[in-house]
Amino acid sequence: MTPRRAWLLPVLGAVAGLLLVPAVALGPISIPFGDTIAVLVGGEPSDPRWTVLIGTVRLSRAITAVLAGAALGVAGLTMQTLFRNPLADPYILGVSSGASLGVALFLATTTAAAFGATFGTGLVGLGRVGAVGAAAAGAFLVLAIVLALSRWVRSAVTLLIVGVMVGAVTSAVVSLVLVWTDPRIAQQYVVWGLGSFDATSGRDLQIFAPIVLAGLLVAGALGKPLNALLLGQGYATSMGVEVRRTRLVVMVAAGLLAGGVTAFCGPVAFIGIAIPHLARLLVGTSDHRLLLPATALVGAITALLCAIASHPPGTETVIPLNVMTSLVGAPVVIAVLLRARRSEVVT
Amino acid sequence: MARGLLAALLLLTTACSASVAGPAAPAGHGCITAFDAATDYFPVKVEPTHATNFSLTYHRSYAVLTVRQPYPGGAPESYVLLRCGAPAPDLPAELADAQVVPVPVTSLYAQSTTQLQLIADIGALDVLTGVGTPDFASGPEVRAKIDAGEVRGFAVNGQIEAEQIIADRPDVLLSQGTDDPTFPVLRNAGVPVIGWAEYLDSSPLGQAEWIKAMGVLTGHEREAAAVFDEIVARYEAQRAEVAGLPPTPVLLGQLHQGSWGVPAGNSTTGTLVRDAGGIWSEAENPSAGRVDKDFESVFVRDGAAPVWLLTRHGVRTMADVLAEDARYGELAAVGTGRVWVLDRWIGPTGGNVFYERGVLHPEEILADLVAVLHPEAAPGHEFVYYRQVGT
Repeated sequence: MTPRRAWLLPVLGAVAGLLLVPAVALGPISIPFGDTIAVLVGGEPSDPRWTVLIGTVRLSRAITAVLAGAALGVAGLTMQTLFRNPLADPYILGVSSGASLGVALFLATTTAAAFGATFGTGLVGLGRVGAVGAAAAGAFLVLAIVLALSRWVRSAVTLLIVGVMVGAVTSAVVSLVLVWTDPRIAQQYVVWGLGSFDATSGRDLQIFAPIVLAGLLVAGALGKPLNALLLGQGYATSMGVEVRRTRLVVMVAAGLLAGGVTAFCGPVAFIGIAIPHLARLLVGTSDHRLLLPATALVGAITALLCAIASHPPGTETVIPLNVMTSLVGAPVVIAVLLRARRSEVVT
Repeated sequence: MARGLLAALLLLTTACSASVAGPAAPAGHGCITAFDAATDYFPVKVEPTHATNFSLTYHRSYAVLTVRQPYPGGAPESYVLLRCGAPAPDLPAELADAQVVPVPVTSLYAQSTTQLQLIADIGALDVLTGVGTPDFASGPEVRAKIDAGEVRGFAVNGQIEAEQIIADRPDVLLSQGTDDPTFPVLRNAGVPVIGWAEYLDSSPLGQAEWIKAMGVLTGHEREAAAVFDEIVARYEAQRAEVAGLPPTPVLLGQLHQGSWGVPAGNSTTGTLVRDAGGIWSEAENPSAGRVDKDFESVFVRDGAAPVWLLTRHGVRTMADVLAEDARYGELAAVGTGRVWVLDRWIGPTGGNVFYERGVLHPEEILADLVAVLHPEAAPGHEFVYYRQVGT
């Protein structure tokens, strides 16, 4: 009998809420704590620049981290359950490589335009909206292809392979785009691939937040069918679960979550694959009705910690987000998994 | 008036100290027909005074060009530039493996557009037979040669076409300062490849001075030295003109996915901006690279600067700037409208002339920057590379 630690949910929620304070109060520039509070409650800080820093930089970053962490955690969990594979991650359906293709094409056309070519001139003025739109379009195009192919695929394993193959084809096209254009594009593309919670502005959040919340709501309603799927497709069918329809809904939700995050933050590594494992250990159950909210909260907490750590207070430097998530996160997960190796909940 | 006099004086003194030594070169720089071991076949000796990434030493029938770092992290390489017609020299042991390039070269493949301006300015375009990507080349003479089929592309899309190059057998191929797996293949097949990494010289004048190496390769040492001395004179005159003025605070670079690369004090951009009378948070940083910061640090340190030099090309209006990131609206320069980009001069096939011509002509970039940072010191200046973003 595995313990159900439902009481952990409010604790995790409180930790995430508390972490928002250092996420907003700490950064390369030291802002008096009183001024931070003053800005947050809408007052006048001692230096008007603090309003800009906290209001437009740190708050956006913290909210982006919370949303992205929760989204990637939940998307990863649903994919691991759907494919019954502990190594599945939110990008397993090719969403990340699709977004990469969108961004590479956008950079190629706008950079060509910047150097005088007429093709793509209209895209330069799109700026951030164009880059995010291109990533989203690429992500959802690849998702649509995988979904269309999934109609003819019965087994989850075959679908997994189809997703990986479509991703490989997309990555090959990205390589071709990069080789065939200006080398400076490759540099920009590499930076995009490092992931970042910093680029999201308040205006971006008005689109990003509804996408993530919608994806989380859909995923949240999938607790029961996901529980049934854990025991295999045959069992799920015998329990009255419409496997194909469930599979489609899970894939759309995960695609929405992972595609949204990739469009705004780049392909953020590690969180999606590792957080579900951490959450399972913490709550001590594979019941998705508890595991889904727990994964969202642990994802948010981890992403907040990474956001704080990638802007070490007192140093004017930025550590790329994916360096933080993987370099620091992976050993932590290994340690946790090894300590809990006897636990029966580790799948 | 006093400034003009000073500039003229500087021009004169630098011109007089031209780093050319020795008697006049033999007419025509042709090949040796009757070799005489006692004759100095490199009577005009040019040597770098600003550049640190290459050096030249002279022997009777050959010169040795050594590139300290032929590509980032690469070990030094020496090339034996042998006067054509001379017998194979008795080389010291350390040069036993060095590639031998017959000079003056009669056919030259240039992978980087930055090399084209050097060849054009010394009047040696007749030896140019190949360029990396023809569409990146913008100079009218080079374009004419490309259109006439006299110059072919050998690394279109960045992929070096080894077989075609071996079939063409140019006298020398100049790399773009990066390593490539085809280079050993080319060298084994008898096509010498010189690691041409002028950009690893961080000083703008040091980069321009690579024209001297091009002079030795093509037998135009005297012209190369004359061009370079004039560049130095103009550069120094510009610098002297703003040296006494209070520096203008300037914001450099821009955000890319949350990260803002600020050029350090001794980077090429940093040196140019400092010499043009600009000041920014990393001006005193002795590094030649850049410092990656976030918006928060840049906003607090440099956000109040009235001038902003953007790195992104192609932005037309301030609305385009704000479309990249709405937070840019908090920067003082967006309010003053003094936002500049480096894309005024685009070639007929889309190459940015700044990348082709700017490396050899830092004095033109400096003049633009002086006019951007100290418009009062440069009335009526006609911009070459910088363009003001429309308000």
